[in-house]
Amino acid sequence: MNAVHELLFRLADDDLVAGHRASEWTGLAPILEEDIAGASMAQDQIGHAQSYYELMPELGTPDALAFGRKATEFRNARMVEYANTEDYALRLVRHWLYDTAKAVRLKHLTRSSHEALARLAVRIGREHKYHLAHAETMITKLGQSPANERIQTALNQAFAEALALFEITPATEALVQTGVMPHENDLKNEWLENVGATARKAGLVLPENPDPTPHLGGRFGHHSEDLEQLIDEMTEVLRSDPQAVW
Amino acid sequence: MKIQSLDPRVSRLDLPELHRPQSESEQWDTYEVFHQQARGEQHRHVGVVHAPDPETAVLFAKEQYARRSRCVNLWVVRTADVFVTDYADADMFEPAFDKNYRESFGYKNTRALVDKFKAENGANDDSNTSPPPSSSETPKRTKIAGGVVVGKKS
Repeated sequence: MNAVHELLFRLADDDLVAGHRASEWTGLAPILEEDIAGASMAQDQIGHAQSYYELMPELGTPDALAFGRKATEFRNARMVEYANTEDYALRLVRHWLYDTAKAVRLKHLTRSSHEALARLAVRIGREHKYHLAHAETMITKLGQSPANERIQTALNQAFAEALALFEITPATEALVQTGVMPHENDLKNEWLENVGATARKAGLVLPENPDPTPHLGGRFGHHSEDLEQLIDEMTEVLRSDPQAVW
Repeated sequence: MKIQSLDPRVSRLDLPELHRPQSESEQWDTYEVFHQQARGEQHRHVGVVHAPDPETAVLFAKEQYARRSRCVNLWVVRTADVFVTDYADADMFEPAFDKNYRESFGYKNTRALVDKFKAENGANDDSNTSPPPSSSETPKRTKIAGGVVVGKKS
């Protein structure tokens, strides 16, 4: 797989899998308004994934790429595939950490040497602005409320997971050399600044010495069992009648 | 007892089956939402959201009411902050005598009257403001991007 394809799969698979997990909260979020906002953002995210897949027509249609690959072919970070729990605090913290990383990445991609990707990043960035505002407002408000402890507990768990979003692969260097995207370590540092600023406002503390090791591997296709379960469920309707015309 | 549902997402959550009373912090205010479709236009009331504070109200309002149609600006106002009249006083809006001279239906006809006047007097907007046409003068032509030529008829 060439470096650009790998990058596109990382971007697309992150959003597809995160969007699917977010969609699982439809009908279950704590309040109606939040439920609608969450479902709408999940839909947006799956749309973002689709538009990244569309940049690789030589490899197949977006549907074929989204629903026709095995778990080992997915390049998403493990963080986004982890199964939901009943804890909405954990859902919100993952949403915040992931969407802050996505915002940093999109900002740099708008200046990418890959022109189609740069244009796409501008379009996605417009929609993502709201996603990030939603996450940051929720985290700040809840952090300043009696729910602070629940958010902090979730942050203690999810922070190490999120660090693995910036996993380095052999493609990383090639993408830097060709001006497609900055180095993962630079993105991570910028992410740490942004996440740190919101955490301070919210009265939260970023965990010290987090260990991302157990959460690495996603960028190489090494996933948890949760991804298999997700793909099974996501493709269930399609598999029931692969020839159906929608 | 855990909640068992036809929806696998629900069953997977292992939710205990219990009904708990709502706490006071779950009783949120309502906010009235106004959206503006273009700059300069009036903000129109589109509905209500539940929210604990104005910032969250805006977040919710965006997805509830600005998702399906064009919007450039949102207002949210806490319902409790709206000063209202009492329905018991609704009779004060009823005129005691016929005051239809205050209603503005008279303007509806204005355009038709103007057109009728023009037709009867052979006048049109241009001839009142432009200099008299001259047959020796060629129409002014302006070329604009895209190669379309536009000229003013004289």
